[in-house]
Amino acid sequence: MFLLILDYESDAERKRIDYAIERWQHKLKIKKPKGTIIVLDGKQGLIDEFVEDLCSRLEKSEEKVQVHRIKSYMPEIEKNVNKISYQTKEKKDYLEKFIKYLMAKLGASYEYSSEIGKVYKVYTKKGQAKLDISLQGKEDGTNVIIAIDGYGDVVDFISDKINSEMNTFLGES
Amino acid sequence: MIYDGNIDRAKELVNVAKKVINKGSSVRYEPFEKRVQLWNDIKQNQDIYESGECGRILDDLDKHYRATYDFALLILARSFNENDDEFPASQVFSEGELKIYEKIEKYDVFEISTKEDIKKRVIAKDKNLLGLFEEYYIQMDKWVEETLDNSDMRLTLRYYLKKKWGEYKQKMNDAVNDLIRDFDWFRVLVNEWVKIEKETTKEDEKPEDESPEQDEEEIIEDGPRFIEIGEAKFYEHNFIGRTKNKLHGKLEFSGKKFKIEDLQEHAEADLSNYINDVSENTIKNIPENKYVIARLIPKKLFRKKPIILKAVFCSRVEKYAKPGFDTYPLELNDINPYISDAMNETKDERMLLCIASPTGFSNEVQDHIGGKEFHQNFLGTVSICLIDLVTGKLITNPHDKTAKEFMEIFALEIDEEKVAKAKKQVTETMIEKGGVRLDDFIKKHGYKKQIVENAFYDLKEEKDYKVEYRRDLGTQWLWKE
Repeated sequence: MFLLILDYESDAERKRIDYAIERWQHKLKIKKPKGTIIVLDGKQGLIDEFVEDLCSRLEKSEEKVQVHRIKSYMPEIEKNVNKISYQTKEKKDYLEKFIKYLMAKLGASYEYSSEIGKVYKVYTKKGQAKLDISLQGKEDGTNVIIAIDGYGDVVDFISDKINSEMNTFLGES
Repeated sequence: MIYDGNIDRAKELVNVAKKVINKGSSVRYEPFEKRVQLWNDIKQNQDIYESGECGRILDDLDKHYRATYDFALLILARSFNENDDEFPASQVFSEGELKIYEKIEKYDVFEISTKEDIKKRVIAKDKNLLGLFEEYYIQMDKWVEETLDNSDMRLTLRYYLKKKWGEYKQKMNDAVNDLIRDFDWFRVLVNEWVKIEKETTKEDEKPEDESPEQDEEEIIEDGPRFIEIGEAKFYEHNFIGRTKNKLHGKLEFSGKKFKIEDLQEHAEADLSNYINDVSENTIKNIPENKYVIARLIPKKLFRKKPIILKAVFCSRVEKYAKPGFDTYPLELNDINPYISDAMNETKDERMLLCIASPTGFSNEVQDHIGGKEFHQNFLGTVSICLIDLVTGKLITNPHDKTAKEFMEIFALEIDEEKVAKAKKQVTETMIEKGGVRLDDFIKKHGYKKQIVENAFYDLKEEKDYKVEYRRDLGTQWLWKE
């Protein structure tokens, strides 16, 4: 049995957690407990005293208090990173405009500019991914490098979409 | 500090945000992708601006630009919300920020309506408009002010929404000031709303906050000049009236010609604030701090860009409402809002701001406007000319060529102002005594001879009085046959 503690920043993020629970509840036993969850660390004697104190303040405490011993667990998951690059004879200015259009089409939001390019974030039904986009102007055209990172299927999903759009735009298949 | 920033670049960057603001809530009808692109463009430009690329921009202008970015993003965020679009990046605004924008936006009818439009709709008892007025008086104004003081809201949004709300309020005040004077039923209605608002406020207030003794003390004031309510109103009528006359169609002075466009008159003061406390006659006499604004389009030969002329009558309205007079000159805090507004209102054009006061200006104001620092920091976009309506003294910054040029328009009029005042006093003496002796009148009121003579001859034309030199009196004499 595992205890997951998930922090969220907005109501929308909380809803996404609820959807994920819905999607997974037929594959796993998932329970979202009611009440307050407290993570305790300290000497065992003190922990027992604290639980006793809590029990003394609650009606039918035997039904309301559950205590589990937990230990940290690092799941075997890794961030997926796809890096796709293109070389084109188109000028950098033109590519910049196309990237803006492409990001809007994907519903990706501008986050910030780094020294090598711009960072966007995209959220899809398969999850969210970060896009690092760098354009290098050359004498004979432009190099485009797009790094996509995220967890799970979203990385391939977004990479395929970008690839398809870029190839259409650059006239390749 | 010298502000040598690149204004053109700053304007170029903020342009997308301004377009979204101009579009307002109807931006929601744009396709999702288009709105995402607008969001991204604004965010990128905001990033560039905030990185300091444009250099040092004047504080007020900088504040305005920063607020413009955030306000445009708020409008877009609301469009994503309303359309149930999945665009999590826009969820950066709090519920409070979205709510106050929605509530203020309801009043955007005042953005496109003129004072006359509003009056017509009120007279026709337009339910929607009366509903907005009712909400405004009973709770909205107070609620907006309180909400905008909440430090949980972004400062930039508070700044922008305060400005927007101020603009709507002014349009409402302009119309209401006229309507409560002209229509009893509307005065009664506003009176009821104000009463409800006051009763609600009273319930919320703690009794220990009341200190009636202080109010009594405030009435006993002394100062360098005594201007009573009727006089102040008279100065306002004259100043606004003659400025409008001057700006009728075209303006010509010192060999320069201007075409006048967009001549408008507005009032800053909200007289309904006093409707419960003073008599109907007092309401009709309280100055409204009116102003006239117009675009002056010059002939191409000597100047290319148009000039915005804003002529403001500025007085402490609350003093004229109670105790019914003011005795002190205007201080910096009285005129600063006008300077800040002028900074925000100017775009590519230069603004000549003329502030006229019946009680004059404090030494601090005169030093500030005439000072070197003001020249360095403000004269890029705004020229200022202060007019003391009683003494006729004009104050400008010595380095401000535009203000100096335009001073002529107002300087010429000062004597007319005095003549008008002299006429009023001569008429009063006529009613009282049946005749006015020129030398006595000059001695008593301290006017120049020419002014009183002008007043005499004007009254001779207007009221069928006689002007005569009487050897036995040794002076000219105005009398009624």
